[in-house]
Amino acid sequence: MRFAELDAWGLRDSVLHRRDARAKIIATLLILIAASRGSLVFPVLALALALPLARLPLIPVLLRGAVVLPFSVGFAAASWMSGRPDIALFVLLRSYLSALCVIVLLGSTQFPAILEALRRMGAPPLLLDTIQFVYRYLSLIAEQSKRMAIAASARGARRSFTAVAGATGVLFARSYDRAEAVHRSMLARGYSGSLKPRVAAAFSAPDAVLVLASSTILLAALLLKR
Amino acid sequence: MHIPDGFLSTPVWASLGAVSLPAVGVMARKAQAHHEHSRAPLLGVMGAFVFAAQMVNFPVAAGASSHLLGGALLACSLGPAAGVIVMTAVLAIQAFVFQDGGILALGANIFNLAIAGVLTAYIPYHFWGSGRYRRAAVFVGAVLSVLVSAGLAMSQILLSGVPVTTPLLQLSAGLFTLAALAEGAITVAVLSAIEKINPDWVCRPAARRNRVLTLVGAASVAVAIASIFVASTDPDALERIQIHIGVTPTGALLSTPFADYRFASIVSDNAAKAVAGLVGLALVYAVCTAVGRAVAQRRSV
Amino acid sequence: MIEVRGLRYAYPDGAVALDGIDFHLNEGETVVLLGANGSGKTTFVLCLAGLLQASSGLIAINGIELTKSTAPELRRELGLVFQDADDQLFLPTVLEDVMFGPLNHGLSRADAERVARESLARTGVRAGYDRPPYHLSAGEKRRVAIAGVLAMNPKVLLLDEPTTYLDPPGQRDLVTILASLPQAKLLVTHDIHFASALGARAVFFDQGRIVGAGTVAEVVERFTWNLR
Repeated sequence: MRFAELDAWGLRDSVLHRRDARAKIIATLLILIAASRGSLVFPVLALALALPLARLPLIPVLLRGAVVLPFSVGFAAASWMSGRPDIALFVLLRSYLSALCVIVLLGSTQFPAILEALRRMGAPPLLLDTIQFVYRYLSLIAEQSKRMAIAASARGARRSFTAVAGATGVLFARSYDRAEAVHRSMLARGYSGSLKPRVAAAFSAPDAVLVLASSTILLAALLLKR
Repeated sequence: MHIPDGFLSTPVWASLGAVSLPAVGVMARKAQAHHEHSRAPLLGVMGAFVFAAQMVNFPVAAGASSHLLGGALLACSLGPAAGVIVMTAVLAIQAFVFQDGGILALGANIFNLAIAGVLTAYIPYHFWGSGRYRRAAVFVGAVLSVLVSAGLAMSQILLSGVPVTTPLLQLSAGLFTLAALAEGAITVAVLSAIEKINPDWVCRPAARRNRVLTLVGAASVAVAIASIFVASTDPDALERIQIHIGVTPTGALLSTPFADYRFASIVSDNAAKAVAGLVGLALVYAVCTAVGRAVAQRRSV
Repeated sequence: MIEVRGLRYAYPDGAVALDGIDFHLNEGETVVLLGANGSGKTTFVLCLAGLLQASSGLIAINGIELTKSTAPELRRELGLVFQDADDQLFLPTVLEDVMFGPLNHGLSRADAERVARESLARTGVRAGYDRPPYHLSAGEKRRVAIAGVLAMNPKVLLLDEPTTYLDPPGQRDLVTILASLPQAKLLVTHDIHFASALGARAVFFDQGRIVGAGTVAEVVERFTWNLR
């Protein structure tokens, strides 16, 4: 699946990879706010600083950012037709640059570390545990669904509406059974209601520097008025 | 309609984030209430199911195909609160793993698709889900769910100052309606297939009134319908609203980026507004954390 | 060690899965459960682990009766390895998943990690502790799942069709690993070679009852029609 690439990037090592995930999330949000308030110079500046620090491959990152384009191009076209080509271009660039900023965050942080950071920032544990299970069983159930579709077409099934609905019902049933089995296996290993949090390192001075740097960029974005 | 980053103006994403964060906290508490063990394994695996089901193409009519969004299906099977949490988890994964939807815009997307989407789907089911109009209730709920989610997302983008002409709005409203009808048909069909396999997997609506639910649902329906109506009939009114809440389609926010820059004083209008927004966000965050802690303490006593 | 008398279990829809099971397992002993699909073997194992509540009958572990209130405590004695390793490996990394059980038993993170590394080494998983479990091969998943159970230091291992999805070399490895473990073992399997390689004693399940017992060879001989 598409996330294998991000997974692999997250396992690399760099100055940015070693930063606390909380610092990286806050820094990304600050840069995104800077992008949403001011000129596009600021996200470009942030990316120019962060990309070499994260040691991520430039071209694949730039290509990956294109995932937002279908949505953005649609609205850009609408703006263009509404007589505002400048806004069209601006929105297109801004959403693309914002996506690149998020990719730098995700490419330099392992997904479990992001969840742990959100936990420490006060997100509800039930939601975070749920996200973790979605992440774990995502490809498993998607593959199950694909196998069912292949098995059906191997027996010459025509994809009628009711047949697909029935298969989706069966997929629901299998997922439900899977959930019960997972829960049983957890009980069998002494689960008593909550996942024990991982230990994460304390917020260090370099982490603070990262937040400070992105705050500076945001401040500059707010002060430099067009 | 997962809104990416870079589309919403600060007042829009900040206020929706401020609504969504505490609402998800409340829903998480409701989803876990009356259950001895953590529901995370069930909710998580069902989230993975929604993800997989969203990739399945349903042949609807004349070679066209559509796919499930799942908000209504979750509301009718796991219940509204659990449905909101599952949808929120799915949106979080889509944003954090697939860049489908922004991070700054996550609050808005959660509001549109998880909170408003699931709760509006549940309202008809809550009132008519156990009687003879059961199927109709599921269908209407699913249709409303998509219309409300899409209407909210559209109006937020318009409010943020992205100009879209009236004919284009009418066209997209038409497309949303088709998608909504497909969602209704798919949800009814899948839900009855599930019910045939195991009736216990479908949630039986309690026969009591739920004031909060009614209120939230009614409000979001009203907002969505009103904004579509306003946007498609009177674009000038939209502009007036935009000016009123501080964004102007022709103003600084979206004017061409290639103009020259000059220094402004720290009390410049833009900066002051942004700082106020940030302070507001920080306050919301502090309040949520405090309330969360208080609730957790009260539960553990 | 484990004593079962007159165990009955009916599913919520009324279907009887276990119909009066008498069974015992001594310390350090290996017993193989044979029988057709749907004969009640897996249900029996889930009842032993206290994950399904029997309708009637008695299960005692170390002389203590298994009830809803004693189940969490008694589960510490039993290590249940599920048929589908994906049901068991749900945490983001191999090491964290193996640490799940010890942490639930109240070990500190440092102790849990030490125990987890020891268990992984005992099942022959020597590297890649930071990998996500879904990137593992079937054989590796099985080893990690067994390590996750060993880390809790159980007295009895309950293994539900452990050869599922394993190729012949993987099955041979599994025999070696299991034979090296001192715990008592209860194996559910359809694989006669695997059963003979490990089991001294076997019982044969049919329609929720134990209809035959003896050495693996004797049981295979008697029920050869059902097993081949």
